[in-house]
Amino acid sequence: MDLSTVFQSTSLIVPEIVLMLFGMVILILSPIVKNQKNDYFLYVGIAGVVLSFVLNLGRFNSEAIAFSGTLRIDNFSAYFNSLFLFSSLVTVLIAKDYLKKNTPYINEFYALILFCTSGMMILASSVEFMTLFVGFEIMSIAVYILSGFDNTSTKSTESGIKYLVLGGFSSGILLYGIALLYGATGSLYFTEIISNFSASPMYIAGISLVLAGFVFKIGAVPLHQWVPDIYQGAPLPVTGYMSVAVKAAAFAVLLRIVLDLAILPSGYLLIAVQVVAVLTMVIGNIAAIYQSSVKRMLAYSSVAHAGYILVGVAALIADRSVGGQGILYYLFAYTFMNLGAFAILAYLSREDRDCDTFDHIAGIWKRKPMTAVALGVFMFSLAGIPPTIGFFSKYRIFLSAVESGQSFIAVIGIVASVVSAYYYLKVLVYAFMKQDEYGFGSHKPVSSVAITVLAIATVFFGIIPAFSWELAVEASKNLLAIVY
Amino acid sequence: MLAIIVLAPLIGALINGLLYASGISKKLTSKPDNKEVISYIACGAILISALLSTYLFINLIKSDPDSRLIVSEFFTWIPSGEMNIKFELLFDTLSAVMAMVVCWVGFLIHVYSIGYMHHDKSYARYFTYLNIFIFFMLMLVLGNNFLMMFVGWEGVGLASYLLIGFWYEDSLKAYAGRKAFIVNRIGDFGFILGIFLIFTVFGSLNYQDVFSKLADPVFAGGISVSIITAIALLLFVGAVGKSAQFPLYVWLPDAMAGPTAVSALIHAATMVTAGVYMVSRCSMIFNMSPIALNVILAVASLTAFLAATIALTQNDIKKVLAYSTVSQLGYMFMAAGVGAYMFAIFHVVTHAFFKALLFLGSGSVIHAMSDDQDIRNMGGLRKMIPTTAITFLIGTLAISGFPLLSGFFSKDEILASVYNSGNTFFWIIGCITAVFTAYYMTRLYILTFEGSPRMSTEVKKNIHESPRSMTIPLIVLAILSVIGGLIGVPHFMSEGVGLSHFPNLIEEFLASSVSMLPHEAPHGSGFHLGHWALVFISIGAAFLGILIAIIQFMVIPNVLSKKVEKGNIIKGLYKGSLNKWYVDEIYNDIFVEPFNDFSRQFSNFDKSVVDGALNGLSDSVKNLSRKMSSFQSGLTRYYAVAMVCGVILIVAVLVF
Repeated sequence: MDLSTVFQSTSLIVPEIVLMLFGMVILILSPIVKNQKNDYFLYVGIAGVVLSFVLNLGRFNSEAIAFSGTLRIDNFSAYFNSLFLFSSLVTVLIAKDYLKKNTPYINEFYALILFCTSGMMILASSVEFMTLFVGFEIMSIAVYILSGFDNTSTKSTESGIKYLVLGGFSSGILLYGIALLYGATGSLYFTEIISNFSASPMYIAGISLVLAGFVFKIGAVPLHQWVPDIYQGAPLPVTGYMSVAVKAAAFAVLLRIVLDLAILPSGYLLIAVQVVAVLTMVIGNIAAIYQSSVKRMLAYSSVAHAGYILVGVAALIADRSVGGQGILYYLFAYTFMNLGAFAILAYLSREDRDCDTFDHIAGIWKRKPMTAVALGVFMFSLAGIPPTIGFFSKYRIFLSAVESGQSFIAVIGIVASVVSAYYYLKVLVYAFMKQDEYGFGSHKPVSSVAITVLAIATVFFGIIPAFSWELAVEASKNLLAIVY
Repeated sequence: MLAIIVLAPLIGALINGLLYASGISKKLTSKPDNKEVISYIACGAILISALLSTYLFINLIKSDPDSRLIVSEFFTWIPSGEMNIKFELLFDTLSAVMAMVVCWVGFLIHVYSIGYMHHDKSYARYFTYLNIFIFFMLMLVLGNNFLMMFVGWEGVGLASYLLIGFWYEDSLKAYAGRKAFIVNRIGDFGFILGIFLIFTVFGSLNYQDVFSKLADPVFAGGISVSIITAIALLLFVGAVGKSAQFPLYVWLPDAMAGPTAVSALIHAATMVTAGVYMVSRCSMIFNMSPIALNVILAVASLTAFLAATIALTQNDIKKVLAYSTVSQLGYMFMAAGVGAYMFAIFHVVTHAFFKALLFLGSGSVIHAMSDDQDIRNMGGLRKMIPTTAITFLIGTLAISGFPLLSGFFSKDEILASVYNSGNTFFWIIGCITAVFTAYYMTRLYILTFEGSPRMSTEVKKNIHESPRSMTIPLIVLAILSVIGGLIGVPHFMSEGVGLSHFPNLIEEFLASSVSMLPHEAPHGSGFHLGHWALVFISIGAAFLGILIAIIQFMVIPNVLSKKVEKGNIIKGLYKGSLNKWYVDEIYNDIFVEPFNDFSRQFSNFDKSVVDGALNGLSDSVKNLSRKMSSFQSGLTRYYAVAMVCGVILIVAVLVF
C-alpha cells in the first residue's frame, strides 16, 4: 500500500477523524483550561458532531472502498452514520443539563461520546473483521465508561462494572467466532470469506458465535438479561444513547453479516431468527408490564423493539426482494421516539434523584403541560399508534413480514404490541390523571429544545414519511447490492 | 405557491396556538394593545393566502381556457401496494372560485372578529381555531384527490366542533358542538364508504385518474350504472351531513351556539358549502346516474321548503338565519340535482356574500343588544345603528331575490334550470320557497330595525354602533352582495338590454372543470314558459313575500300580540313551524333514546362478560410478567452463566 492510497483512504474517513480529533482536543485542553464554569467543551463537542454530520451528508450517493477493502462507504453506512451522529448530538444536549451538577468530569463525557460515535461509524462501514472488531471495541469501551459515569451513584458504578464484565465476555465470543471463521476460510475480508467458503462445521460455528456477539449487543433473547440492569443503572442520557445508537450500530453489522456471510445455513438461520424474534417480542413486552421503574420498563421495551426489528430481518432472510428499508426505517424512527422518551425522563429528574418510578411522572400534565404532551407523543409512537412515526415504521416491518410469507410472525408481533400499549399508556395515565407527588425539577432549557425537536419530528415523519423513507430505500438497495 | 396558500393559515394557527398554550398570550392580552398582535398574525396569515390565490386566479383567467389547471405535486404521501396517494394540490377553475371565496370572505370575517371577540378571554384560542379552519377548508378545496378532500372534510368538522363549543363552560353550547359532530359523523361515514368504492372501481383516488377513466368510453362502458349510482348516493350522504340537508340538517341551527362570526364563516359561507363543492367536483359521476340526481333534487327541494317554513316563525335572529341557510343550501343542491352545477357554485358564491353579511350584521345587532337575540325584544334599531341596518337591508333584499342584486341572478338561474329540466313540480316548490324566503327575511328586518323599540331601557342605554373593524367588513360584503351577481348574468338578459357582448363570466370560467348536464327547454308539447316569463315569476315571488311581510308587520299594528289567535289550522301550523315540526323530538324518540337504552344494556354486558374475560387475561399476563422478573437476580455471574447457555443454544440451532 503506497502513500497515496493511504492519503486517499484517509480522505474518505474524514468524518470519523473529525470526531476523534475534536474528542482529543477536549481531553487535552480540559485540564489546561481552568475556568470550568463555561461550557467551552460542550461547544467543541457539538461543533465536532455537527461538522462530522455535515461531512457525512456528502457520502450519500457515493460509493468508495477505503484502506484496501476494509471499509466500504456508501449510502448504507452514510445512513447509519447520520443516525449515530444525530443521537450523539441529542445525547450531548440532554447530558449538558442533566450531568452538570452531578459530576466534575463533564468534559470527558463529551469526549467519550465522540469516540464512541466514531467507533460506531467505523463499525457500520467495515467489511473486514479486524476493522470491525476495532470499531466494535472503540464503541464498547467508551460505553462501559459512560454507563458507570456517575461515580456518586453506586447503581451507576455497578452498571459500569457489570457491563464491562458481560460486554467483555461477549467480545470474547465475537472474537472466538472471528478466529473460527479465519480458520475455516483463511481470510478476514468478507469478500474472501465468501469466495473461500465451505460448509464446514468450523465455518458454521464461527458464524453463529459472531451472530451471538451481536445478539448480545442488540439485547435480544436469549442474551438480553443484562439490558434491564445496565439500562437502569446508567445515567439517563447514556441509557438513551445506548438503546438507540449502540443498537443501531449492532444492527448495521448484523445486517451485513446475515446477508453476506450467512448464506449456507439460511434455512436454519431463518428458523433461528424467527425464534429469537418471537421470543424477544413476547418476553420483552410481558416483562415490561410488571416493572415499577420507568427506566426498567423502557429497558424491556427496548428489548421488545429489537424483536420487532428482528421480524424485519427474518423477512429479509426469507425473501430478499422485500428489502431492508423497513428495518432501516425502524431504526430511524426508534432514534426519535426512544431518545425522546429518555430525554423527558432526564428533563424531569431532580438534582437529588432521577425520575425513575411511575410516581415521579405523576401529574406532570399540571406542572408542565407541554412536556406531558411530548411524552404522550413518544409513548403513542412507541406503542405504534398513528399518526406518529412509530406507527408507520412498525407497519412497514410487519408488512415486509407478510410480503415474505410469514404472516404468523406479523400476527404475533401485532399481538405483542397490543400488550405493549398497556405499559406505554400506563405512563400517560400517571402523567395526565394522577396527582402530583414529586414536585418540580429544575428548568433545563437546552433539553426542552431537544425534546421539542424530537416530538415534532416524531409526528412530522409519521404524517409525511416520504423523504426519510426514500433515504432508507436507497440505503437498503446498497446493502442488498453487495451480495458477492 | 399553492403550498404557501394552504400552509399560511396553518403557520398562523401554530404561532397563535403556541402563544396560547405556553401562556404567553395571557400575559400579552392583559394589556389591551397587545391583543392586536394576535389578530395581526391571524389576519395576516389569511391575507397572504388571499393575495396569493388572487394572483393565481388572475393568472388562470389570463391563460388559455383549455389549460386552466395547475397541479403541483409535493410528495408521495401513502405508498402502499396498489394504493399510491400523492400529496398534490390542484388549482383549476372550480377550486379557484372556492379558494377565492374561502380566503376573502374568511379574511373579512377575521377582521370582523377583531372587534367582535375583543372582550373574550380566550382571544388567542379563538384565532387559532379560525386559522385551523381556513387551513383545512383550503386543503378540502385545493386537494387533488379524494383522500385529501376527506382530510380537509374531517378537519373542518373538527374546527367547527371546536368553535361551536367555543364557550364550553356553558354545557348547552358544548352539547351543541357534540351534536354537530355526531350528526356529521353519519354523513362522513357515507362519504368514506363512497371513497372506498371509488378506489375499488377506479383503482385510484386522484381526480384526473378517476375522471379520465370515466370519460373513457371503454372503461366507463365496463362499469354498471348501479355501481356509479351507489358511489354517487354515498357521496351525497356525505354532502347531506356536511351541507345540512334533510334529514341531517338538525345540527346546523344548534350550531348557532358558537360566536356569531363563526356562524357566518363556517355555518353559512364556507364549510356548509363543501358538500356542493364535492358534488360539483364529482359532476361526471353524478351525471352518469339519473337516479342519484333525482334523489338529490327531491331531498334538496324538501330541505329548501321545510327549512323555509320553519324560518317563518322563529324568534331568535340567528335561528332565522340558520334555517334560511339550510333552505338556501337546498337551492344549491336543487341546481346540482338537475345537473346545473355551475349555478350551484354561482349560488355558493353569492350566498357566501349575502349570508355572511346577514350573519355579521346580526352579530352587530346582538353586540348592540347586550347579547339578546330575541327579535321580539328589538325594533327601531335603524336609527340607533344605521350602518348595520342599511347593510342588513341590502342583505335581506339580496337573499329575497330583489332584481339586479346578487341573489336574484343566482336564484333565478337555479329556478330556470329546474324548470327547463322538466321538473315542473320541484320548480313550483322552489317558487313557493322563494315567496317564503322573501317573507321571513323581510319580517326579520322589520321586527329588528323598524317600528318602535321594545327593549328594556337598560339595554337601550347601551346600544351603540359597532367599532370600525366590524362595520368595514359589513360594508364590503354589502357591496359584494349588490354587484356579486354580475359575474353570472344570463345571456338572454344581457342581450335583452342591449349588451350582447357582456359575458356570463362564471359559466364560461367553470366550464373547464365542471361538466354540466345539458338541458334543452322542452319542445313542442303545449304550454311552456320562456326565459323572461321565468324571470318575472321569480321577481313576482320575491315582491309577494316582501309585500305580505310589510303589510302584516308594518301596516297592521300590534300584530305580535294578536297573531296566534286565529283559526285552528293556522294556529296548529304556526305552532308546528315554531317548534321546527318537532323533528328534534322525533329524532330523540326514534334514535337517541333507543340507542341509549341499547348502549346501557350493552355496557352491562361489557362490564360483566367482556371486562371480566379481559381482566382475567390481563391478570394472568401480569402474573407471568412478575414471574419473569424474578429471573433477574442482578448477579453478574448468574448473567454470565445465562449468556453461556444462550450462546450454546444459538450455536446449537445453527450447527445442527
